Amino acid sequence: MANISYKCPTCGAEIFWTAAENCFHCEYCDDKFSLEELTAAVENQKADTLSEETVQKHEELEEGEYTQSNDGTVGNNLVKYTCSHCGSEIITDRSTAATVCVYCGNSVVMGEQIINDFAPKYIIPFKVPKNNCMSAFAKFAKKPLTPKNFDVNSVVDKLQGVYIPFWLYSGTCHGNIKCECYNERSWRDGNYEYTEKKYYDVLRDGQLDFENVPVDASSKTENDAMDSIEPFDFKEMKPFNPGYLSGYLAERYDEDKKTCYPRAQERIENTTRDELVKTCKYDNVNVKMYNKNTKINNVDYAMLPTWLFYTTFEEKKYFFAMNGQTGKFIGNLPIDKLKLTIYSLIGAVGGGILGFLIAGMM
Amino acid sequence: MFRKVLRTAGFALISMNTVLGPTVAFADSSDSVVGACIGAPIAGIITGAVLVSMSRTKHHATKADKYINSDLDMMRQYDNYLRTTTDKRKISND
Repeated sequence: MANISYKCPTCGAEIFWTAAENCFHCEYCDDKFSLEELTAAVENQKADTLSEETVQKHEELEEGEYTQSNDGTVGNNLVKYTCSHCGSEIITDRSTAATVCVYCGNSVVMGEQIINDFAPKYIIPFKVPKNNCMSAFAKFAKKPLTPKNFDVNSVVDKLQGVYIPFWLYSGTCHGNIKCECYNERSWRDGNYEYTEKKYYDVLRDGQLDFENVPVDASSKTENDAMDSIEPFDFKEMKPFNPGYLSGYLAERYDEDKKTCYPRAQERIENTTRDELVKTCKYDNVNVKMYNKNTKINNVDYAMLPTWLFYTTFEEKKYFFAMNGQTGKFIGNLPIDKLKLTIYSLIGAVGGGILGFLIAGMM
Repeated sequence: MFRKVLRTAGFALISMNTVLGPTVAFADSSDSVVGACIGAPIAGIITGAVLVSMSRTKHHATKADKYINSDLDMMRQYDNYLRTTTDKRKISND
């Protein structure tokens, strides 16, 4: 029994999914294969052959055997696999679904993490290649307050392509709002200014359908970061095949759909409220009451592509992420306090002059 | 997050006071100087806040508007007139 790794049908070398070419590319013989061609060529690479019997199971670590995972975090939740290529031990977190052997570079997909309840239904394959990441990061880091010595090429400790597990919630939200609204008009008459407000009691009752509201299902990733790299284009979503994981890291979910649901519910209900408010064509809308009822019809489990950057700058750790499909970058950059002071002072001088001129004119 | 915003605002205010404190002290309380003294810290804080927000791009998502799959299906609505109020304000001539 072995972990799943992908070999070139032509030369037998390790083969990876290549985001730039949207196919599997063998670096040795330069052959290219679509997923269909690859799965047809190698029977055991079909997702539907994965079962309890065929996948390699993890081994539990003995006490004190390892204290740190590959990413440097101290783990007491680690397990052990054997690399099917070189036979060395691969120590990973319990929820890791795909990784790369640190000894031979072999791409390893932990089959037991993507079967049965953990089998994703969909995947969006990587579209942004690794060599575009650094230039995108350099462009992203060019902000007015970024310190001059923040050199993107030297600060990146680790750059990883990771498939993050997401729950995709589809359903309907039925909501109604009761508001007090008014229209306002003003006019002058002699030395007086009049303001008239016409008040209305307003009700809006409607429903809205939502499709694929994503919520990340891994406790290891920052929720805000994963929220911020949206949106994903779900039209490009494909049925899951473990072949797409080759060459990347992947996590399986460790937060179930029930745990993640409140995050989707909050977003769905806020948006329904906003859409109902938008239909109130008044100068001012004051929502007095909002009743809502969200029904989720379908929840899908999908793997979505992200590039994760771990950097250290002036002994402080920073984390950035890029949407592996659209190239959208997010993260909190370090701030040069001197630059902040100077720009604020420039702004203050400008504001002072403006205030001086406006007050002088009045 | 809130602490960071407060810290930035405080930092900007201190910067403003350093420069504008003496100006305020020697001002002859004319409108223009008062305008400058009010405008400067406000503009400084806004500038700082805008620049800081450009470097901070991680946010908690609260909306799902990108995933709406249909037009709003309005089932019931009404707009009932309640009352009218009128305010009258004397315009000062100075």
